[in-house]
Amino acid sequence: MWRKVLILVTLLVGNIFLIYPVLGAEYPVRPIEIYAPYSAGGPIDLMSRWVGEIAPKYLGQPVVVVNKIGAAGSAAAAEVISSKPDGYKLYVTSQFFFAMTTKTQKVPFDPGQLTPLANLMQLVDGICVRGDAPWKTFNDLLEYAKKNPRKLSWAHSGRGMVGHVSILLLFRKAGAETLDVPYKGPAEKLAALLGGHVDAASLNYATCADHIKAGKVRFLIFNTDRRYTQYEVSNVPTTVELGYADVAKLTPYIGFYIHKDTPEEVRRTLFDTFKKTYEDPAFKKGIEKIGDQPRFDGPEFMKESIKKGEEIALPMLKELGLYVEK
Amino acid sequence: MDILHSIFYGFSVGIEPTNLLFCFLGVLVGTLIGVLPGIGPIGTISILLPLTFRISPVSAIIMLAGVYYGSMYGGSTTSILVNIPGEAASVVTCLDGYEMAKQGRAGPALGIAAFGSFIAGTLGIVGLMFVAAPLAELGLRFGPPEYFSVILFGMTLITYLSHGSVINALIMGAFGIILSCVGIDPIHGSPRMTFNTMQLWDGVDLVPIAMGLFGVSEILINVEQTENLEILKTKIKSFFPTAADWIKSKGAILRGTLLGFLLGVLPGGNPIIASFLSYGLEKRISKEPEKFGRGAIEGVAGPESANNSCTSGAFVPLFTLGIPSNAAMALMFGALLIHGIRPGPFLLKDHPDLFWGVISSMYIGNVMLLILNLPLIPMWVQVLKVPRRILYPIIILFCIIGSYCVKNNIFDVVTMIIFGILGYLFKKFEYESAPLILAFVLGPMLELNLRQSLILSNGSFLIFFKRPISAVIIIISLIFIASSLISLFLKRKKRNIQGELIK
Repeated sequence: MWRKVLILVTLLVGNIFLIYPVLGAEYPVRPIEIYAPYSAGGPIDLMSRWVGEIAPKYLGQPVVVVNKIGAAGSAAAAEVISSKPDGYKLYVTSQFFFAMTTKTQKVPFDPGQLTPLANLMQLVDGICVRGDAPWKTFNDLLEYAKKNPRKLSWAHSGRGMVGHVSILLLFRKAGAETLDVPYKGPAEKLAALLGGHVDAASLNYATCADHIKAGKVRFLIFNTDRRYTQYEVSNVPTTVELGYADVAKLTPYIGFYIHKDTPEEVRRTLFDTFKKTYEDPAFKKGIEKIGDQPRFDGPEFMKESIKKGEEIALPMLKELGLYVEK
Repeated sequence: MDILHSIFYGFSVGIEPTNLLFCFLGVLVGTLIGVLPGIGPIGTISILLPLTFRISPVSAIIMLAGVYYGSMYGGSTTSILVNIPGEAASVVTCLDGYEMAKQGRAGPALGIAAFGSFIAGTLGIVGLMFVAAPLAELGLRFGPPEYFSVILFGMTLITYLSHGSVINALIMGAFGIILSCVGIDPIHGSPRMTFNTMQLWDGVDLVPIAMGLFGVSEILINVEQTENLEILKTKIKSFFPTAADWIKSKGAILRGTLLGFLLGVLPGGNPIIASFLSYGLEKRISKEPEKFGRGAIEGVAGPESANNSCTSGAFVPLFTLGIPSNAAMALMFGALLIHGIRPGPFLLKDHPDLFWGVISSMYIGNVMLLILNLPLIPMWVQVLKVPRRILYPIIILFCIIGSYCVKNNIFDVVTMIIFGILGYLFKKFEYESAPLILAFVLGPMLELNLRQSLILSNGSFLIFFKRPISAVIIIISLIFIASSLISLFLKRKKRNIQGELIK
């Protein structure tokens, strides 16, 4: 019996010695986890998985995606905040999680505990109508809406979400009163538009790509600062072009956030990895396959975009009755 | 003739050894997770998703599809044998399947479930092949008012899910609707009944509730009984359905197939709703409704067929319009995107190998599943002989894993335990849980579509009657309700008259 105990103790102690080489080693020594707040298959998840395919080349360790869905992103955020700030857990989301979501709900953590690392992609929403609709340009739509208040119906993904607030703001600035109808997600919005149940929809290019090719869906405007150069939508104007630069501040940039107390060198390493990943030609191809626009920015830009987002969005949130005091 | 060429082409893709292997893997994994209570197809598909990046898109979808419809085969096994659903779409199979098992007829129940699933799955694929495009267009015409009417129709079947007191069923239904309101208001965005906890923002999830109410509670009830359960020691009479069983079930299977397929085509339809509605429908139109809940084979044949054909139907909007109709399809959509394939109107043209290859593999998969499941029936029946003290802890383990896997959150496990205790109390006081589940699933859809319709109509309720599809369905629902009330009234009158005569 004592022999067994001795062997067991030796093994345990021996294992401790195995860790020593690791203790002094450079970051990273084990896989990095990206906590994605949305379910598998969506654009944020797909981008994270794509990063997970390419980044290991530059980082030296695998990068895996963990879907921790719930509470509009708070479940994943809480997970990252409550873990050790050692750089092995990242959170992926858009700046509007900080500028809007955490302002509409009481969250049990301090979002200031997360600091941005790098953006890799931007989501572009726009207004689209059916192919056979009578409105050929955005101004046609506006004219109709102004002449018929509360008659133009358009689908969005939920009150208080950036896709709703941005388009609502656009219509407001143009002086039109519309009927916004909430739907559960892009698939439902597209179905509603194609089926003729709403006049227009706030959607992104990726969801509608094939239908645009088939002529069933047309985009009238995109909420961004640069036009799509490829695809069939290079002739669609942007909000900035048409004079609504403020609304373009409500463009989601998808990026990685990390615990604020993570050591500076770790953050440097991660930033360099993301930069190299972004510059890898396979990355851009992957993002284009998903249908969104690649775009790289660093932490300063991200902090700015959170602030700008807050400036524009908070008045709208207060007016919609969704703002919650801390 | 064109279609025939395409089918042959599809089979040439489907019987490639790699694809056959992935098909087999998919249906095997699907059956397993269907059998294991808790873990369901959606969780499994999301776990397998990253693995599919490395293989060809055709193989990927073949495998994932196999998991999806395979799980609908396996789910009925534990429902019938131990009254614990393998996954949410098999909850109704517990109602009559377990009763059949208690009467020594577990074999025929498992058999008719397997055969029904096979027939429905195969017919569903035929539907997918021939009527996909026109049906998808029809599906698009279903807007909020039409959905509301369909769900309303589904709600009228709630009381048919119980064989006890109607009032109790209605109470459970109301409880289900109230439960479904927890979370963020879909229209307004404000929290309801979340008690300021982050965990409840998304509401309570179906899987922990179903596992708790049907799984954990069943175990708790059985643990109470200290005497040996003689019931299942009665001779297992036969392993396969008799001719009489077939005659009774053929209608149920066909109706279930049609119902499930149509529900799958509608964006938002899922196998859970299909199985519940099939059960309610079968009981409603049966000439011996009192047999339901006491071992009516139609109560197994119908729902099991419906949930399988629903999986075939779910592929229709995905492949023809690029619109995923439920969470599992959304995952497949993501899998295709990563491979650079965008499902939509051009899928058939640009990637015929994908479309026809997957369809042919679904035929192959269904045959594989039948071969996998049937010979295993005698083996499954032996599970009944495993001592309860070994079987039950294993089942609870899987329920816990399954509940945790929903959102990687312990909170769901706690929910499951709470509902397990509640379910135990419900059973003690003779409240049945099936109406609660149906109301819980339909409630949010009912509310969302009602309010969306009213937004679109600027507050007028007439919108439900101005649109032809919606009007027709509502009128049918009203007729159903009216006829039930009339027959109830006539029964009462007959009883009164008989009472008078006796006096």
